[in-house]
Amino acid sequence: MKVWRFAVVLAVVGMTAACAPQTKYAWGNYESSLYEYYKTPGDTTAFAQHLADTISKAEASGKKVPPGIYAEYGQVLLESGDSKQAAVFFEKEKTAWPESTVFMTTMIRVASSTKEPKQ
Amino acid sequence: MSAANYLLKLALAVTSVVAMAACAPVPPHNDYTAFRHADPHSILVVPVVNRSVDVDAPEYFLSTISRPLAERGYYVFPVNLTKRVMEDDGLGDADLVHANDPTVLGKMFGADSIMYITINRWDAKYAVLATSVTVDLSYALKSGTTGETLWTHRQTMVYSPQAANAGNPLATLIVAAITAAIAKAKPNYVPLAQQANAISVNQTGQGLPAGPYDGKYKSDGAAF
Repeated sequence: MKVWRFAVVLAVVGMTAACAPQTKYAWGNYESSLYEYYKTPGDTTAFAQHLADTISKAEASGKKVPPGIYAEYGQVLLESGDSKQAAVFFEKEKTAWPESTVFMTTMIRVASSTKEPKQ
Repeated sequence: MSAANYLLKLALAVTSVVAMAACAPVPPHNDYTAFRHADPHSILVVPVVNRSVDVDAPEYFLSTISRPLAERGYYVFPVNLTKRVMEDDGLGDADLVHANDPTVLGKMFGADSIMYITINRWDAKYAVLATSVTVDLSYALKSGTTGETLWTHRQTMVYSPQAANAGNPLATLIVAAITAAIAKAKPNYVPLAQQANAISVNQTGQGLPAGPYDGKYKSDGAAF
């Protein structure tokens, strides 16, 4: 009886696995950290840390960093006053994803015209 | 357990597997003429319109949408950065943004297509015997260059612990996540939203054709 039940479980897992192939990108905890960020607005430090982790883990894994992640990190850097580093990450997004060129060009301009750090 | 009892259980399991198989082909087939012609490479997700009673729903939802679209093979603009920039530019009002010309946004962001999502329902009905959680979403993808509608879909997911407890391990997992949350008074809608997105984006004949970063790009004409 147990063996049968195990077989059924395996079949179900197998079928769902067939529907969900390997992911293209290393998402890390991007989704849950964005959710937490919206749940606890203002906790930019935690969000920034999670984004940095996601990026470094993805880069180490050999899988591509998902679209948008470099730019999301650039945004929190810009918000925390580090406009120089922000521009670096907007540039990374642009290099990784040519589709982002128009938007990232704007963001790089915004970051480089933000001379004085907030606060 | 008698043999009959066991057979019944097996039959139930098989039925639920069939019911859960999201990849099973669905007879009605969307018209993809406009979509194929526009051939979008990038998707900009704009602020989500909220018709539900939960004020937090649009932000929470936003955390679930990038991944399925990107994994389908599209460049997805950073949702949080997009949201911030639009708020700074006076475009934070989702209803206004949805009513406006998509080509303006297309130009502003350099986006091939704009995804407009409306949350119709995001709620829980509490009852002693039949608590249920519902997520109901409408999606519309419009061209960033012509403004033409390229794809629309509506997906409703209802979870109720009584109905879902039919011995399906995958369903049980989702159930566990949601029930745990219900116990804490506020249900976790995210697993339901993720399911809704996955079905909407991937379903054969109904979802989005594979994008440029997917191996099946332009070779899935039979299915989409």
